[in-house]
Amino acid sequence: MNLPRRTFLKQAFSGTALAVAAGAGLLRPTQALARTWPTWPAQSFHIKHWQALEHSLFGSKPVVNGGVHLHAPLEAENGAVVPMVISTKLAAPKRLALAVDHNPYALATLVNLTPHAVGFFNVRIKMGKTSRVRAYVETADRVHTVDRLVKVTIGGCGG
Amino acid sequence: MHIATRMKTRTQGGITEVLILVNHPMDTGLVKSPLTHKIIPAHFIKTLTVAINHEPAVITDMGIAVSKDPLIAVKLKGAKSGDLVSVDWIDNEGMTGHAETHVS
Repeated sequence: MNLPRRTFLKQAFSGTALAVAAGAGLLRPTQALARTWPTWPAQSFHIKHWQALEHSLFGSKPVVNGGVHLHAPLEAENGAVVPMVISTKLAAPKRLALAVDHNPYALATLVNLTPHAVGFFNVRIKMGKTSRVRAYVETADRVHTVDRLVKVTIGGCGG
Repeated sequence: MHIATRMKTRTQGGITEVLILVNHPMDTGLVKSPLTHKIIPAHFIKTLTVAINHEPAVITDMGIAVSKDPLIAVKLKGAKSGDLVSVDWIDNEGMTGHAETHVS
């Protein structure tokens, strides 16, 4: 039968196409190389407990409830993809943070805002199990926080 | 491996919403492969920066808890038609990605 030969030819051609595509792709990221990257706060991302995280991120700044809105589902069917929206109407927010109590590491994301940005951030996160999710907004003199309990039916953080 | 980065902007009432999609695996380093029973090494985006006219507007540091194929939205103020909005990211293996678009 001719089939194996057909298959072989098909694969050979698609292979070439892939190689060309990869070549084209490899050229593009060079533009970004000249950029200097801010340092990733490794220490904060390795803290397990949310209270320790809060202390490490904000030090002795007073933490108050309210002033920030966290839009999260009450129940997430799939813990691998849980949509989260943090928003605030506070003037001049400096940083936003999102933490999940029962994840292996509490901090999910830390957002630094400049005056060009609005206090808004939308991201999808993984949750290992049902947990409280905390949103923080840091302003010049205090930290505003709100939390939501999100029920997870199927976990998304390993195991 | 090439990782696609896509971006879209939408302006309404002086606020420009920037929607970003990166086709990144975001491996946590905590999951075993069902085929090989070996841990899949961590591979995740560490920092993603959104800039307007080359000036950083939002700098996002991420951990392993951000979902596979991150879909992120941020909002910028004071962007004018024709302004250049760009996004750059770097992951823990040093791979980078870039996308840019003009505000319509």
